[in-house]
Amino acid sequence: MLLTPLSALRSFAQEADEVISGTVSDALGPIMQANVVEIDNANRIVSSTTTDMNGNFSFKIKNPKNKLRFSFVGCKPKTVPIKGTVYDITLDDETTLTEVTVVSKGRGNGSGLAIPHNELSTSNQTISTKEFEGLALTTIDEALQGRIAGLDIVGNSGNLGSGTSMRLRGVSSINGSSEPLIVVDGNVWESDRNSGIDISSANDEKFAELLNVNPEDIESISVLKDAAATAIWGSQGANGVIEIKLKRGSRGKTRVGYSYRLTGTWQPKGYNMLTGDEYTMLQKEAYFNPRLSSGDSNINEFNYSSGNIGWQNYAANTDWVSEVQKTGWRQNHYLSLTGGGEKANFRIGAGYDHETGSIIKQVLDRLTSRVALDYFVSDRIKIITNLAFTYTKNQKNYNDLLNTAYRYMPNVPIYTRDDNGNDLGYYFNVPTTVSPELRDRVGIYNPVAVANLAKNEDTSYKISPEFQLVYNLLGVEEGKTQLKYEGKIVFDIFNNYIDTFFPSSLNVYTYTNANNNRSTSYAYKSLGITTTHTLTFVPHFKNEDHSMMMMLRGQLVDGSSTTQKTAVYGLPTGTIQSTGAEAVIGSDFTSSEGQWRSLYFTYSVHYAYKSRYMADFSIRRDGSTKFGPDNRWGTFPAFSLRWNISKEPWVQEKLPWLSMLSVRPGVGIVGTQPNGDYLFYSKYRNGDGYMGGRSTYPSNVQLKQLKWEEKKTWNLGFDFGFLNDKITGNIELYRQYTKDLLMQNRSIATSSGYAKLDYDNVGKMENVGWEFNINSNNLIKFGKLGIDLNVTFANNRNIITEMDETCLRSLNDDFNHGNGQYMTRIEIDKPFGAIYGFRYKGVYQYTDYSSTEVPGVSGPNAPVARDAMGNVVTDDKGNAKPMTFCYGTSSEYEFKGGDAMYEDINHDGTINELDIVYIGSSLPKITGGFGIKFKFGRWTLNNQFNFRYGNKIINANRMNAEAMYNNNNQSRAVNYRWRVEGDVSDVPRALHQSGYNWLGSDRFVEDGSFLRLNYTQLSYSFPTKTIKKWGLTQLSFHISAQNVFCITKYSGSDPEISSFGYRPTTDNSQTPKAKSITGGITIQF
Amino acid sequence: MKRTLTILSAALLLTGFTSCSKYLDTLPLNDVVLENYWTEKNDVTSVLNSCYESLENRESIIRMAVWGELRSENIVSGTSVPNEFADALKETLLPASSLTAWSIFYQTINRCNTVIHYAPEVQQIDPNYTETELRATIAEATFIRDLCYFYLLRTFASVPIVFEASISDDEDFEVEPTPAFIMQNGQWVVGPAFDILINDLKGVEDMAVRRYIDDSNMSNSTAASLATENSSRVTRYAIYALLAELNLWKGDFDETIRYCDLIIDAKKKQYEEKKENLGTITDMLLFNDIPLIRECEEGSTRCGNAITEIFGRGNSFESIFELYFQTNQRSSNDFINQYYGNASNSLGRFATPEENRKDVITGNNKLFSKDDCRAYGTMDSKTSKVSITKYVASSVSMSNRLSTLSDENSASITISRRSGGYTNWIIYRLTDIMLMKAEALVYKGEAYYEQAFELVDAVNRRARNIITAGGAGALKLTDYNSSMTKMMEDLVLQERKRDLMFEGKRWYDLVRYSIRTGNNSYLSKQATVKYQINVNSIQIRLSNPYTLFWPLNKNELKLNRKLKQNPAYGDTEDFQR
Repeated sequence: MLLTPLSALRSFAQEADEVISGTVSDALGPIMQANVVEIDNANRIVSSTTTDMNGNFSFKIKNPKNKLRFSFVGCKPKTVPIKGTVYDITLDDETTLTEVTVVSKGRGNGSGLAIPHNELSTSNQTISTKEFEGLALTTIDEALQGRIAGLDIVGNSGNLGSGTSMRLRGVSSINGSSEPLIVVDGNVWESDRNSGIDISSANDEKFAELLNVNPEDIESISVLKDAAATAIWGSQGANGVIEIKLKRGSRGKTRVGYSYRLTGTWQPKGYNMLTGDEYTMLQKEAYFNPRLSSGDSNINEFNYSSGNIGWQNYAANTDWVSEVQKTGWRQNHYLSLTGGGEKANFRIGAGYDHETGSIIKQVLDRLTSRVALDYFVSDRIKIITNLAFTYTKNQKNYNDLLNTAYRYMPNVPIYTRDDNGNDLGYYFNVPTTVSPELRDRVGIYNPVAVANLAKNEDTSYKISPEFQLVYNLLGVEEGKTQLKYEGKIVFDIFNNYIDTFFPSSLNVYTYTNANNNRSTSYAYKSLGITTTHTLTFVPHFKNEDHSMMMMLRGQLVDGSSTTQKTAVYGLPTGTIQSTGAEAVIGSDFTSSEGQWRSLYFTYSVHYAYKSRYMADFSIRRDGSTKFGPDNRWGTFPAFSLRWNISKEPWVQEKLPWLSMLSVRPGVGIVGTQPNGDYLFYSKYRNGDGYMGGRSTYPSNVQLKQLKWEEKKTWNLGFDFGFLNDKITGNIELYRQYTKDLLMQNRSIATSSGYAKLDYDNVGKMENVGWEFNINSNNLIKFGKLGIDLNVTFANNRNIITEMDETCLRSLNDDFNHGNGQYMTRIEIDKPFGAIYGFRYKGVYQYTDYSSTEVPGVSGPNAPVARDAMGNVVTDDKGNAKPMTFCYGTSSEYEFKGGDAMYEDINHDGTINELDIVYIGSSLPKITGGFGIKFKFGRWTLNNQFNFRYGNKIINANRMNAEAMYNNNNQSRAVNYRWRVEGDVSDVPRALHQSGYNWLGSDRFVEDGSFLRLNYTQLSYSFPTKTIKKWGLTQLSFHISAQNVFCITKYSGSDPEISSFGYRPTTDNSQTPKAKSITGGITIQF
Repeated sequence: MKRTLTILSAALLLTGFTSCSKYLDTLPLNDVVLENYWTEKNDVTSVLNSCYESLENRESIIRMAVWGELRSENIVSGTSVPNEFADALKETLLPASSLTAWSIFYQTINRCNTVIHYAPEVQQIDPNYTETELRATIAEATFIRDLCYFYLLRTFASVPIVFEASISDDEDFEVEPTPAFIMQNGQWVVGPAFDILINDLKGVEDMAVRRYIDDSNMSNSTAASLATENSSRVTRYAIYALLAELNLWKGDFDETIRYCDLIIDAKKKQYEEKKENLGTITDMLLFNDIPLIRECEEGSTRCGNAITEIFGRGNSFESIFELYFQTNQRSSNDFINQYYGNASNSLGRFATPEENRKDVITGNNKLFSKDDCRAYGTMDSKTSKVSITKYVASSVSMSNRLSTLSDENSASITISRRSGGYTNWIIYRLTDIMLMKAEALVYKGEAYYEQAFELVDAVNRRARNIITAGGAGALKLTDYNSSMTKMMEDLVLQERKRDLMFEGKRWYDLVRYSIRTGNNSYLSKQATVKYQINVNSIQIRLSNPYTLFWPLNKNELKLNRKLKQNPAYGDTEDFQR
């Protein structure tokens, strides 16, 4: 095009190098600094100038065939052909556009086709972050809580840097990951794609991936729910997809925004624990009771005898829980710059967070920055680059302090005391010379000392540069057939370092102990490269009732990682903490490498007739390195329809208040692949050798048969909108059929030489559920007052419909006669998460039976066998038969007064596995949330609630705090325990390491229903008129509170407990969600 | 800009169109895979070593000892014995107990099967791996797997027998068990399993190495440190020993005797060689023409030498096959350490009943005569319960005038316990073979009693340091009324008990005897002498022939539907909603 023969130009009036001039003005007069550019027919800028103070310009044209474009901020640009040498241009104000009907439609499904919202035939829900503006959210998932129907989000723990666990439409896999896929600007967001981590044992970090996206950078979030929507993500999207669209620059004057938030956080109230004196009393009883022997309970540390050296160290009353808790502070700074011009748009955002935890000695620093740059080479070619960088330094506690604090002996002091009770200034740790009964306390370290002396630093860097080229091969404007090519390459660089140090001052063992001055360092590096090629074709039909678009995409992922771990101990001094230091006693070095690759192709097409009848089809082919050559490729099709009933002329005529009514049936298949790599190889590992010779052994069974887990979803959705979309909402009904369920570590008969297969396809599963979602838009307007509502509800049931018999049998536990055990049962056609256990009936009042009570001696409430009528069973001598536990086994035990009473379901006079009954389900009957928003002038009050109803939780935390079975501190509830014959109590007697007082029973199964005010926020934004005087475009303040209250019958500190796979939900004393209050300011100029 | 663009798009296109399927072929970076393995001799020897490694795994040795001995009268609980062992010591055998888990043996078996499967392929590729070496490898692996099956069959009566390596998931892992014994009319009769194993071993009996290191000019102490392979790797004699015992269980006594003789003759020859090369051998002597290590070395006044050499030092002249731990730095014999005792805890989790040790010195013990070194060297009565010192002690010594003493103090017994678990675990040794032969001879009939007696006498005299045949106090054949088979049988069994105590043999001896005689009365009388309470009910329980065998593990029953639980332990699928 550039080589157009010059002769052709001569025929025109103007010639190259000719000087043209003119004036640019708007309605108010001449404009200074307006842009005047010469563009060729590919819309590339050839030359340019700006107007002077009087709106005049002049410059030499390059080619008279080109056009001139005039533009200015706030005005509509104008393009004119080059004709003549003098131009007098008047630009129209952009705000005058109001008269023009806006024809552009909201577009959804950003990663696939840009389909208008009201033509989407799949199930998804979108939220703009405008709704959360000003909230003190560290991550966006907190904001989504209770807003997306069918998305159940549970905070993993309140520790700094820990994320959340999400379940979209329930669990549909036995023990694979159930986390939805997170897609940021079309890129799959994962820090480590090579992890073979079993989700149920994964740590907080696994869920913290969203932490690397600053919520301020996010523009909108869409949640894709049904298979028809997620099919283009193939195997990755099997658990649903959360698509995040980030903010980009836009044309106009450079704008600077700054926001600051200050948040105070603190721990909610947990159980009240015993004081040192109460604890001592309890332990004396616990040791005495099993054999009624005062010799057993004669333990120096519980005797307060001043004759013993160091006795003061066991006579303290320390509240460990309050010692490790404090008020945490979080500061968030965020600065953004946006702007753009003819050639480029940009947005630069940078955030810095500094946070101290609500547990002592936790500090987190995070720096995020993101640069987004769009460069328009011409209106056909666009280059997009993004550069994101996140740095996190998390100074954690060496171990879980709160957990230790709840268990730690309250009768020991923080600092060692002399025999007169004076603090000696160094921390106390239980020494190895303690009485044998308390030996298990040695090595549980003083939590305050651990917080102050030990180190655990987690540092990570994530850099993801992205380059994208967009080329419009055919028409550029709407109304023409378009063909667009997009090529994208994304690098994902992630480095993670964890350094720990455990000083000798905490070590109570000899200097050769592996914990003595122990230093470890862990380094993980990974690099992922993703290349994507997309062709989008939008044909234009003469009959504009038809519209169609289609897309073809191929993607290639290639990544590798290395891990190194070094551990040394016995470092000479505590000041040298490097793993490279000399003079160590022992050291350990391990390293490993990983690699992952995947490849997929996807094609999707959308067709609409009159925007009333829509059809979508997509198909994806996934190639995975995780399967053998025979089963490597998976094909995942999806098909969905939509009928916009409200667009039918007869509806519009008769029911004008109905702004939207549509029905959307759809079906799709997605696949799941296992977590582990190289499963189809037989791997040979090194063993310990024999007689000095090297040994190697085959370590696994080759998985040649392993297939994709396939999930087929039928979805029926309805959208509705009333009164010009004043109220909008949708209802989704779905049924999912999962086949070839993947099961990790599937047990096999060991006569094969192996105990398990790494993975196996074992059965089928069904998920049924519904979702309901309603939103309002300016629902009530009364003068200055406005009220808006949003409500979501959802329900999901999952059942196993088919499973390999041996697999099913191996998953089901046997009763091992132990305390604290709840059995896992998986049964065909029964939902997951069922809880089985004994029925707790209180406490036996007396050891000896008599039909009428003899106070303090005997009574009817004694451990005797009773028949179905409740009559006492007697032997041939007329004596009442005693009630036993597991009669005839090695665990046989005769119940005594003060022991827990369990219901003898089958009245056989013994409590055994036959008395275990179904207690409840850990699946909620309903989950959801609702919000209410008040507006009064420039004031806004926003409240968001979320709730769960009808689920049961095993409160293992309370169980451990009331078991009175070992040396752990107990909750104050045990002060009401049975102590002497005749006591009436609900809490059994203390029995150290004996008895069956805390069998898995309904005593510790609690209703987990709750209603939580997730956040409430009051904000005020200053009127534009006022702030314009100060040179600002926006100024607003807000104050908000998170986790304000929680209405629940649950006795633990937080009923939001995540569940994993098929096991019942169990509360194992995670750090609960912190409460917080935030104040913040946002400025823009 | 334009050039960058061109390069970028070219790069995008290139990476986009690389060959798809090849692209997805990635190999593990941290492990060797089958496809790249089995190419040279070293690959074979490494996996073969892993068979031995698996065989000497702690879990494996625990079960060899527990299955073979725990239920007999030789073991009672010591200190802090874990629950599962305590249950078993009360004859409460639970299908849920991990003691019934057999996976470690099948792990060993599968490794052997893998070697046997792939070794011939390697021989085709690697010219350094000769046909003879291949045959020796296969013989070693065959012995180890058949030894494992033998343990399993003696413990559970009927187990799946798999000779194919498990490589990929397209195999059926639920294998039908093959019985070693079948119940017919209330009596156990021999099933097909023994013949399967015997045939398997006969196929390789002449393929194994006779001796890895020439020790013909080494003294016993030198050989014990330099020629350890001869007894800690599989030799032809180990295979003969297993064949002898398999035939003894099967009831083919001629074969038992034939294989025992092959071993005894070889030992004789070995002794002659040594004598020729070294001149005099002070620590050995011929007892009834069979060379055995002397308890009291020539010129010494202390006994205990044989116990020290066989169990303390290990890899002795008498050893045929034992698992090696002596200088192993990477795995230790924790079983001995924890269950029998060590330097810091002289009483282990197991102990032995007082009856075995009481009143030996006064001559009032029913089992041991007062001059029997085995009583003083393999047990220690100074601990709160009688502790086991066989294997635990690195050396023992005592006076050689035991027969003249009246109290133990003057016997000046010294037992030096080891601190670490570096004791070999013996599977076959010469006196075991001699007594197997004696047993076979007794079963053959009266004509062979004298031969049988000579073997027992040799073992007995060595332990009591009676140098000459018929010396003072030695056993006399005339004491065992030759017409009473029962007494001869008892003589052999009692000598086996004395000599092989704590070596994982006694319970199997009782089981073999019960099956042979068709009733459990001897077993239930013998095995219950250690009980103080519930003796009657345990005896009644043990009279059920099914109780000779252990229950199958509950998990295995869940995973292999073809397995049937031993009826003595009931159907335990009793959980219901």
